Amino acid sequence: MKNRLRVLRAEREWSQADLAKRTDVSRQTINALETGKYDPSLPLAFKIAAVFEQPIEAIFDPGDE
Amino acid sequence: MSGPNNSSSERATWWQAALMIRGQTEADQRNIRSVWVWSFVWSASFIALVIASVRFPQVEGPVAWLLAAVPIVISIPTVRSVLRFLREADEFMRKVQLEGIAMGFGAGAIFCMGYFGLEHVGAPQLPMAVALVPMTLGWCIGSFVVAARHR
Repeated sequence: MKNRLRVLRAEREWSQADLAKRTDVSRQTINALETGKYDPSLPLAFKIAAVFEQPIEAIFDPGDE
Repeated sequence: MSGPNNSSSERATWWQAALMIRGQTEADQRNIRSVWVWSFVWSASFIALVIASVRFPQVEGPVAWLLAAVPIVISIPTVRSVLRFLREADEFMRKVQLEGIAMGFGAGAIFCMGYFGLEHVGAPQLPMAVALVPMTLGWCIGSFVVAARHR
């Protein structure tokens, strides 16, 4: 699954640690999400969407799956 | 410095990742500290018991039973601290730990079953507690490797 986390984070000039703190997860989790090594659960996807004030589908793209 | 493109500078060193002391949530940091402390106390009590049983074999009866019970009693909060860490860890860290625990269980199972066969062809008999060594090492190494991979 693709996502726009890195772009959205850059637009707000947030570090991975900043986003991790806002979503109450570890920085490693944000890194794994950004590098596509891990797909978030639905609750975490909703939390991320709420932090960026965007709908989930504007952040996460299931791609060809 | 905080910034959007500084992920490499934010990256933990391999040993920070292995010890899980950088980048975790506050709850994870607190729970990891608790796991480290209780694991140390449990290990120390077990080692002290082994040394005491070798050096003071004359101690018998209720005192010996009481001493033998100490590591068992300490093991309860140790296991609870691991459970609390897993329950409160964020979902990705839980996945990392699951892989580590799976490696530990695998190493323990392979050792136990493998050595059972080796004993029948002449390998020296070992006490059952020896199985703890590959199990614990497998868990530690597995967790370290997975945590370092995602640092």
